[in-house]
Amino acid sequence: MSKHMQNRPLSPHLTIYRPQLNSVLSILHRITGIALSITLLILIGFFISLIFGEKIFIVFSTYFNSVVGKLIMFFSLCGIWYHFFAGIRHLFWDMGYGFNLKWVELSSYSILALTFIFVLTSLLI
Amino acid sequence: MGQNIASTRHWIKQRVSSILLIPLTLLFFYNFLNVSTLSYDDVISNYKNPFHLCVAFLFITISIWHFYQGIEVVLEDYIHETNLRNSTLKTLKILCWFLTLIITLAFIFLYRF
Repeated sequence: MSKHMQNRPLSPHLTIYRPQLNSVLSILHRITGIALSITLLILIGFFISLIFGEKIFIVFSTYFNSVVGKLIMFFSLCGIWYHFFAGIRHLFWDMGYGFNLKWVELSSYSILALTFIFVLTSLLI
Repeated sequence: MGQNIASTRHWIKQRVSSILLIPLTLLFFYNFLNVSTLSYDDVISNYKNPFHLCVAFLFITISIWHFYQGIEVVLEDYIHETNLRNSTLKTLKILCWFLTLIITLAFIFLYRF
């Protein structure tokens, strides 16, 4: 590819679009996916702290139960359940279902509702 | 042609990890959310249960690979410089193998506690 070709603007020009529910949810799937890598590292840290004995585990769980730790866990839960349900919709799309606008809209609201319910349930268990 | 086959394989692998993670996420968090607030001994005894141990192990390892498959697509979209992209992916792949190794060892220790 020549230099000229490489610098051509990419379509779609996201910045000139009015944000729509579908476009916001689409980018949110990616953002939560990236953010969840931090959650994954924390989970790995949790299990590694377990094998280093009680002292290290207590350090880890104090951090877990601090305000910052709880906030991270809260956002992690939001991310996990959102990514979970949006991911399931992607699998349906992969099989060729749910493409018409009515279904896309309905599933978008369902994803948000289910995420809300699951985050709430997770916090209550 | 080779690139097409590689892309198809990548696509299939990503679907496989996604589908596996559906039941694993539910099973893992149903247990983990109760466990994470317990004392050290109770957490250890919870993971004495081979079922919980296996679910946690599979959830973490498959998540690591799901992460790698996802980040591969993201980097392909945003890093247009091929060399930079490939070296970033290579580094991440090594990191993923390293994490898989560490977590496997951790779970072996946990099982033998």
